[in-house]
Amino acid sequence: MSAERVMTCAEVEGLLDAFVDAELPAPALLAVARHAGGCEACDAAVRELTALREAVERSVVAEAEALDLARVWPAVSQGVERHDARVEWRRRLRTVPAWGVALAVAASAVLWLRSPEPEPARLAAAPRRNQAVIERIDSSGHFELRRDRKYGTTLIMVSDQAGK
Amino acid sequence: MLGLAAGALVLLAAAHALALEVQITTVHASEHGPSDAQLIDLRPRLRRLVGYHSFQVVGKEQRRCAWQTSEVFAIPGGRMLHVVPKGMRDQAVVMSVKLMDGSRALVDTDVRLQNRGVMLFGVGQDARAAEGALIIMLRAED
Amino acid sequence: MASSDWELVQRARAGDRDAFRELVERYQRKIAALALGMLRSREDALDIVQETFTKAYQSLDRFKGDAAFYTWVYRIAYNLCVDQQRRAAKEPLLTLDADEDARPAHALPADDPHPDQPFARARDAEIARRVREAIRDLTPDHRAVILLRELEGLSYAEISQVLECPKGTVMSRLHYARRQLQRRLRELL
Repeated sequence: MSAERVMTCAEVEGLLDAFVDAELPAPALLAVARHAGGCEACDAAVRELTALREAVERSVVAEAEALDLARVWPAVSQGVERHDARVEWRRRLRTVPAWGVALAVAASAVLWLRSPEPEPARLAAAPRRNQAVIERIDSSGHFELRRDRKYGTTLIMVSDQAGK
Repeated sequence: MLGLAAGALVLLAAAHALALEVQITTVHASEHGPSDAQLIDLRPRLRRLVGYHSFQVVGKEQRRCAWQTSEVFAIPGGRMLHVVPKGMRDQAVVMSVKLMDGSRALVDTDVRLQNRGVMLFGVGQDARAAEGALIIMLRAED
Repeated sequence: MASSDWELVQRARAGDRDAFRELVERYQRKIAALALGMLRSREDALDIVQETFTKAYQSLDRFKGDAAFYTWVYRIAYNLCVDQQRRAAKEPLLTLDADEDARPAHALPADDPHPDQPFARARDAEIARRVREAIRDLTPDHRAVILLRELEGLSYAEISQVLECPKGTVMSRLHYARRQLQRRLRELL
């Protein structure tokens, strides 16, 4: 594309995003800039895209900057330690002699043969995984019952007033 | 030696059939600090149920508990959890659970918990902890 | 002079945890911004930041240096955000959970342009909230390209590496996402 030829609005419209993102090769960049300089509509379109970028940046950056990231490294550090410990354990396991592995396999086989039969599948509607029915409850303090909607997990929350 | 080991395994397997497997995990819940990596998957649900932000495992114990017999689990911070498995009914474990603080029963309850299910006991406003709450996760499997 | 990302990666691989810590502190705010834009919750965003760097450490041996470290880390974060969104879709929040956007922000931005004008500040906060809402109403694919381009300033080529899709797809998603946002926010911008 020659830098001399004036582009049409239709040609510029398809290049606006790349223009605003500085992703166009230099000759195309200049051509679009030249057109927008003389065309109110295309100039407005460029300004709108720039305003949108600024609005997105302001709205998300402000929220991100308010985040307290102080606890990120301590949590990551725990994960790092755990990973390193696992790697070390695996390295040591590779040095265990073959007879030790055979003995462990034999013991597991005996236990497996002795374990009770698994419960047969039931056809009736299955209760939720953590369903608990409270048949009776007493407390020396205040208590509150809460339940997780999906799994039915029950929490009995007691307020311990004794220490006060 | 091998015969002794085999005999012990058989005894273990027999005991296995006559008891309930109970796992007690104690978690300290607080507003600040990192969470235990092993609780990452549970964290969103714990937050919704318990209301705190971070969770750290502070104790874990697993035991086979004989039916109709009281088993006492020590809970970090000086409390005791008494569990008496009573039997099975419709695929649920029937048991009595008492959370004791010295001679006071913070909670004393009879529950029917789905086999292999988990229920929670929480102690909030804990004067013993700097802040936060203690959550006791009880899992029972026959 | 600050060490390059590649130097820090090599030192971390050799067991230098301080080197990895430096990488974490260098990019944690950027990953937080991406996660915050992708997810509804500040708490989930913080979890993503922690999980991203934990996962990065576990996979450090697999990082070959053929892409920039930050592009590689963005990819980990993006994939974790997508997984989190899939889990959240299967497990809807209880009705007691408040929409975090409905709460006022905990702190004013450090460069508050209207320190003595509460109405202007409230108006800006409302605009910011509506922009965030409009971004979150985009599909995850469109949300990701907008955030990576407008917020993180990544090039089309870098975005295509993060999202593992062709550059042409990046451009068409960006075009679509911008037009959607402009339609939603026309009277505000």
